[in-house]
Amino acid sequence: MERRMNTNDLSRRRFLKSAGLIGSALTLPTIIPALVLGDNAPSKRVALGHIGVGGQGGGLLSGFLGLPQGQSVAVCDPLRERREKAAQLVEQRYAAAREQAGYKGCKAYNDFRELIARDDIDAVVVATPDHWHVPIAIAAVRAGKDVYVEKPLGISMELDKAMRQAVHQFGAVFQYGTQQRSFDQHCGFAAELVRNGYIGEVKAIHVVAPNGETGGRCEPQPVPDGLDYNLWLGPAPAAPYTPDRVLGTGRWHIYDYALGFIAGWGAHPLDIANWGYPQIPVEYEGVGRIPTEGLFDTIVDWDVSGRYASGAEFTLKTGSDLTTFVGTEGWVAAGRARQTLAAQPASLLRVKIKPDETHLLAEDNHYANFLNCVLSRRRPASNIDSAVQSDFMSHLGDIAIRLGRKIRWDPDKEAIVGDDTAARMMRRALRAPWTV
Amino acid sequence: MRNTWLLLAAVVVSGDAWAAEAQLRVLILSGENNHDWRETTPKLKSILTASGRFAVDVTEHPEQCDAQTLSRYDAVLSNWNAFGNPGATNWPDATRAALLDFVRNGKGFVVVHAGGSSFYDWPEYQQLAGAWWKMGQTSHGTPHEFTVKVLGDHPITRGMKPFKTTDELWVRPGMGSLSRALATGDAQPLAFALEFGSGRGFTLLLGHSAAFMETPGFQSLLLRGAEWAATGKVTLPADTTANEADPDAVLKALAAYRFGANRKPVLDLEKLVAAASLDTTARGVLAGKLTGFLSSDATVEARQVACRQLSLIGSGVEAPPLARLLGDRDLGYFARQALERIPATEAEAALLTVLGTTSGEVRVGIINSLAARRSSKAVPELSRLVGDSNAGTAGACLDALGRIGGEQAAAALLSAEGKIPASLKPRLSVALLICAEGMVGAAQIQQASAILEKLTGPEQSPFIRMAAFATRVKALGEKGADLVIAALSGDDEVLQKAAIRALRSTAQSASLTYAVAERLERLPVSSREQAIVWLGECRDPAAQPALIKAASSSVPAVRQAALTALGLAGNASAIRSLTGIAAEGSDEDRRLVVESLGRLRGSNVDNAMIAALKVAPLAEQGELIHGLEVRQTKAAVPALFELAGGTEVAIRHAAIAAVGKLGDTAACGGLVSLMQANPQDAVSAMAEICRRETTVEPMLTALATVSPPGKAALLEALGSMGGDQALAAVRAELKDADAEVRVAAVRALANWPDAAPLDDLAALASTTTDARSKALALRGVAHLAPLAKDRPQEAVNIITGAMKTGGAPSEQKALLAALGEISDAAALSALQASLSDPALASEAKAAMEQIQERRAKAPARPWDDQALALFNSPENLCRGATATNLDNLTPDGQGQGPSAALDGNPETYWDETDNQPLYWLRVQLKRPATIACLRILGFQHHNYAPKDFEVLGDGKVIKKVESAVYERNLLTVDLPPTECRTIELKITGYYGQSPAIRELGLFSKPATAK
Repeated sequence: MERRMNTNDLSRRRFLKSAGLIGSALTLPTIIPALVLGDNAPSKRVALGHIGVGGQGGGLLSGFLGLPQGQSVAVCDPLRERREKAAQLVEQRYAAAREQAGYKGCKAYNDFRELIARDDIDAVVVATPDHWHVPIAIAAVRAGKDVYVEKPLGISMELDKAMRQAVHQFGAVFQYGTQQRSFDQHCGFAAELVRNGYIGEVKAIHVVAPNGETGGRCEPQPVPDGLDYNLWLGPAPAAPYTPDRVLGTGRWHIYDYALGFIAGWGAHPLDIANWGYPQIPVEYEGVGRIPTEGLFDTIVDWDVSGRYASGAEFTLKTGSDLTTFVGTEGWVAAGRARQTLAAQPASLLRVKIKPDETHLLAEDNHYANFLNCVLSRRRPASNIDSAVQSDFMSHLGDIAIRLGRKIRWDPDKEAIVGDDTAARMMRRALRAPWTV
Repeated sequence: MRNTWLLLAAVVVSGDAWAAEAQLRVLILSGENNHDWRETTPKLKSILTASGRFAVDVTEHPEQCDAQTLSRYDAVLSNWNAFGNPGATNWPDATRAALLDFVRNGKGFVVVHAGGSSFYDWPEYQQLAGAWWKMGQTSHGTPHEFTVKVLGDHPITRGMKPFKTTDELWVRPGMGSLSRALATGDAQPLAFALEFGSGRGFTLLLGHSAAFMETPGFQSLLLRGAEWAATGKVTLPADTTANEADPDAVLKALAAYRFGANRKPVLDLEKLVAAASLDTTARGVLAGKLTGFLSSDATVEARQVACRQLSLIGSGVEAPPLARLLGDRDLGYFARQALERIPATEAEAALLTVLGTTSGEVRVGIINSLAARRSSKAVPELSRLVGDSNAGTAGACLDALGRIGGEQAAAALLSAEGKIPASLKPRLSVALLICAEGMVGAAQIQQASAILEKLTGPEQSPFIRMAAFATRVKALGEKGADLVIAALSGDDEVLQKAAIRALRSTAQSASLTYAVAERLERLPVSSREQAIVWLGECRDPAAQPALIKAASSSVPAVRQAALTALGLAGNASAIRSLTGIAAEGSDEDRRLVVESLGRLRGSNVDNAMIAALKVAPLAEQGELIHGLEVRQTKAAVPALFELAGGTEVAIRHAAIAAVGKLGDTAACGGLVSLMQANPQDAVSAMAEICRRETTVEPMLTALATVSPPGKAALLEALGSMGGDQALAAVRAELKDADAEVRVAAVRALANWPDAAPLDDLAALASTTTDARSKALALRGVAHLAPLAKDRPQEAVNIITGAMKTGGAPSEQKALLAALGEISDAAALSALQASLSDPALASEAKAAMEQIQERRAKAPARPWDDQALALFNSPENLCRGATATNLDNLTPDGQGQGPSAALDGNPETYWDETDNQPLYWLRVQLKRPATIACLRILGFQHHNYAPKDFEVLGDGKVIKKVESAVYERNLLTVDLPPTECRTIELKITGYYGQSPAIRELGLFSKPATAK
């Protein structure tokens, strides 16, 4: 809900805000891909394609539309209605910004491969269901694009590794959708306290994230007109169409497309954990509950404990949304809500990180940070290496729960040690013809 | 596969039962019962489906069933009765006849607990129901534990052992003449079988609530009884739960698993596989069983489940049978996944064997799996297939050869160039690049370099050239620097850009840093800037001389990049260079210099900067002082005091301010001695220290020693700080001997941050004889009275009192204006009185208008105190609970985060981005509690408020609300009492553009229970 005021005022404000006019230029330059322009070209705008424009993807689209460094030129979704609405939204916003009715310039695609094949697109924003994140992002990187990828990363650890390999090989700019690294700067402050030794030696890291969802109706239904279901499924095994699988939150809670909230939400507090303490535990053990009824079949409640190579303790449990670092000289906790920031001794909260200490915070806008890095070729706030690490923590917790035994991780070899079955769970096949 | 589903979807009306032909189809009658059917019906359905033997539909409208409805089923289970709702017995004759005929003609009727206690005037029904609650005869005690014992021999109970259960046990139930008791508890009959025409009935009086249905014995009796009623035979085991560790039993239960059915058999198998996976023998045996299961007549879904599990424990032995399934429409994917996961070489061999015999997507999948396995044995065959006319196959081969890598694969890719269509050329380049990267990793540098050199050629896409260049640099190791330098100095723009990118992605080495630094000046401007940034990031002091040189460049972009880079890479020896540039430079240059001075690293930097303070020319001292501030170099305080005694005003000012930023209370003594010459600077520095250390002691100490000008400045500073201690001190100074000090004390009170000295000022205004003090006191009253928000009427009285002390017209007007700030009726009437004074009338009028305008603008509060009291009462379980949003949306407009809905303050509200399909709020209670009522205070009556939503308790839907109706902006919804720890609202419909919640309430007492 926007600010409420008198009706006339309100509608005008609404128009201005939705048109992205408040505080931004009234005219837009014709878009030229950054690559052609060169890094020092006078007016640098990044041409963006948005793949997946549902709830989260639509939100990202709105976020990017407000930024002068970027211009959204294409959207893609296997749901016709969604992609057409998104393209309309883009064109309306730009039309309003240019004060030019009937502005065109955002094409809607069903198949991401056509979008990626355009060489006038510099970067893509991937906000698909989880099982598509890595295959699409790798295809984009191999076509010379930079990528903003929603969390969680891949639905298997091998996919995560493949993503990282591609990003490094092509020198792509990769921004992970863990927005609290920019928007919620108190998280970065907590991580800076830990990195700079203000809580002493780290003794334990406790992570909680909200539980997953049970349910989902299983009655198969005809695939609705305007949905390319086969493409939606993509690398996942074939399955009967049900609305809850595709349209609701099902895609977050079905194992063929996701690990559930242990990764889907866990990604946020685990990312903070990894930000403040950039390594991952070497042992994992835990219990969890997988529902027996309904469509959703990922772990809904979890209680994982583990140990870092340093001996520090690690726990990952169901709860609110919080990362707590416990050190020899105090503790600090932060979740995505600003009021979660807490520390002991409380004086830690008044610390000013010195210039020559480790600073983690970049811009306070995650999208702008990505676009600026596309232009400057710097590393964005949420880079691929930490994305892989925090996602690994979700995967290893999930595997430990599913096998009901302790899993040992070799961080140098990046391999599960002494458990052939667990090691096999690091990999999933992709339905043909998809591959990475 | 998809066609099958479409076909299925076309005929399914509702429910799972239709999808499963091999299973017995059961219709549960529900929707009315004097027991909690909402809980027991799903439980019964779950028990039946979990067995795999039954497919179950539920109807909540038995009266709508007719012969045609029933014809689809093998048995009807009644969890329905009209007890307490006699109106529900309005079954049409057709329904009644259909049920009797259904059973008479060979089908089954099953009754659970009170499911037969209806239709006391319908004799046939009572016969069919087997046993029921008979008024005046039947009774029961409280639920307790008892042992269920089998009576005689019957197919249903054959082989069953006595079991303990906890339930409500009926004493002397009514019993039809056809019924035969099968089992007892405490000598009371509780399970019955009967024959009815050529059909059968089974009645189980256990099952008062869902919780009592967990016992394995209950479930076994129910399942076997239902199977017997439906077929006349029993095949289900006597104890269904004892066999979780028996692979055969688990697989048997799994065999009938269908999509949508209870997944217990699936989880049981996963447990078995996990347990067996640690033991070589158990693993082999179970893998063998799973392989056999794949070719059994189990359902497709069951075999898919088995194949997934086989992928985790299978060995080379299972590879050939798995390979035979690769072309299978339903199992192909899972078989391939297994062959991808099984490490044994037999799995690789099996994939290779079938490669030649398959086509289309099946073949592409096999190629992809060989690639995932990095199968070098596949290279010859892939080399052959790369020329395949099918573009899908050829493309997959290119990808695979790239991933597998090695000399052979590289050769195959290089020779593929002539065989593939132009559309595959970009894919070939990517494959070659990946292949070359693999070879670099395997130290096959020479071969890799040749490929990479080709890929950097101008005919390739820029991004391929750049990536290949980066890999080449990496491959060459230390010699890579030459390549980078050459490209940076060359005129190929893509390679130049590539070289800059390569700088960032290449492992840093001293030689590369040195090489770039050495050639910095010869680079074109655009590249020079980025190279400078990179040199800074290297943090290698070796680059310092080159950066210092660049920092005096006349090109601003280069100069400023260098100033920043020096902060990162420089050390103490860069200090004077930086300050020297600042002395000559622009504002932006000076800002960057201060930032970089703040960043310089090295244990001697702080001391070097302090030393520099003493020798640097005046023009550089300002930046040094600011740099020390940024560095928080507390050790600089003595040196700063020296500068504070200097002659240059600007430096003195900056130095004293820096003492305020860096010093602690120990520095206050020094500041006191500066107060004579620099009262304002010294006092504000001291105030800054005191604010930081949350004390006013040093200021009070100073008050006692300093001369009047310093004292006056101190009083003013105390006035802006507030607090009891400061107030006491300022009050004392009202009696100081020095008139200036007394006036300063009044000024301090008049500027106080809160209303604490309001009464002092009012008293002062009426007693003081000093005109300046009086004017200040009256202005103070005008300033502070509107701040006394907790006592508006008193504030009005104080103002009216002050007006009578005969202040100057300007003070009178200020007091009237202050009345205008107070939105109280008393203020209005006080203003009214001044309307008659011609000197003040216009001021009074303006103030009245101000009040009236504010009142008119203030929105009618969309809540009333009564509603508010509900939310703030201790009965609201949301007190102390925590709220989070699960929808990933962010607060919008003046809306706040989820906690605003629980804070008891109706002014704040939870609200997020407009027009979203789903808003999702989750509340975690302090401890589990029973929830029976939900209240919502929306934003405004039917405007920006939740409209359609689901209420979930611990993840389960307990209530759906549609088109919610608010009464004076308050929504009250009773919920089925549910014990839970978390409550979620999933809001899909809303009034206005988004659902905003001012307050949320959860209560144990339903609203309807008065």
